[in-house]
Amino acid sequence: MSPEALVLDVTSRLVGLACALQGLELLALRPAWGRGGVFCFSILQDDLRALPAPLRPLLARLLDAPGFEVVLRVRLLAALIALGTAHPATLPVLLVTQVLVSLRWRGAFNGGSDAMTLVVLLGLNAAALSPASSTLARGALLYIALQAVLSYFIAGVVKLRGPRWRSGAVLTEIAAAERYQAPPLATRLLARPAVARTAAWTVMLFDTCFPVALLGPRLALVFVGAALVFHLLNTWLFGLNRFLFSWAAAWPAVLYAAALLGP
Amino acid sequence: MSAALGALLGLGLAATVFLPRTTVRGPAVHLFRAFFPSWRFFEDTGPAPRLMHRLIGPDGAAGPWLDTLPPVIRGPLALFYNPAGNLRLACGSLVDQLVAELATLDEAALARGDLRALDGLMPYRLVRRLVAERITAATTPAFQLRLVLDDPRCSPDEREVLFESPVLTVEETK
Repeated sequence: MSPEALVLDVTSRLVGLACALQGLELLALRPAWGRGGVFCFSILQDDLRALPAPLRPLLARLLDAPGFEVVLRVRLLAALIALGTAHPATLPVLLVTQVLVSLRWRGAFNGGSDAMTLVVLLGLNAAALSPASSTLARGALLYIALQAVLSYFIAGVVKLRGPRWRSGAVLTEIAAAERYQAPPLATRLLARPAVARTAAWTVMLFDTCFPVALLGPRLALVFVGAALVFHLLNTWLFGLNRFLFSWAAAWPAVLYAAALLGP
Repeated sequence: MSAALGALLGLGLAATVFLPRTTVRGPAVHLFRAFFPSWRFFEDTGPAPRLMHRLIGPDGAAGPWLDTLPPVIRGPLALFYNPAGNLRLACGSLVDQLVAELATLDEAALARGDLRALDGLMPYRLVRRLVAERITAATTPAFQLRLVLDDPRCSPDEREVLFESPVLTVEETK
């Protein structure tokens, strides 16, 4: 197996895991998106007016509750097969159902994690177009790696630009926000300006320095390890579990890119 | 890394920082926004909006303002499986969308009591349902919803009110 094929295999399994967990969560939320739920399709279908008329009847069938349940079940099955076998036939299914899930939730159910899952699936599907082409595989993996690097780098730069991020005030605010339900211990700790400032600078430096990971495989391992800790903390503090698995699916591509581009 | 590739990557990264940002808007773009990630997490550093509601009794008496979204308790399993928590985050994003779309409305029309534009906002219709669902168990036929800034530096009574709806009935919202 070539290095590209190996990395694509691992990436397929990891994105399968991410999609399986996302699918299980969405199936559990049927009362919210089913008929009579808050996010019922009878209201959301107005969004489809923005799309070409010939597409609307098909999308309406797929996104109304009975059709959407089928979409989610097919997605879950494909995700489990991808997790177990990395079979390339699952990739277009995962890509199409990912787009349908995003459409059903007005563009995204969970923001960045939907976007990163899509990035990984786009890369894998591109590579699967011509499995014999190592150039295509390399390009696809570099695309995923670049998006992963950019996701940290841009997030870091926009934070560095904000004076309230640099003072730590934003972290204090986020930890206290009703929306994220941070554990009381974390809220109390981040209410201390010195702790909040140190934590904020740690996050900003990690994010902004992430492109350094591409300088070599060892550095990449260090950054991916730090990223794992970062996402675990985000999950504990803010409940952002989807981000962990979506980004984890992109890390093998980062390691590959570092090995390819490094010394 | 070859010098050329390194320079190219450096230029690309610099471009993401220094080139002016172009915002493309439109309903179709919004639906497909996952294809165009900005990766600007937590860039808006102000306090987030918080959704509240109050019940209006049959005699027209208003109750106290209550938090609409219930707290979610996360156990160790939430690392893998956190549907309630992620739904709550999705509801938070919905409230953010409502605030953004409210800013596009004609304030003068709203002040005159012309609520057609308000009713046309998808996030408003969804948020109304969100509140109505929370109070279906109550015997109250009507309610009001409100968006406040969730600023931890302010006491609950001092929070800035971003929006307050007219009195809505549960029946017409469902």
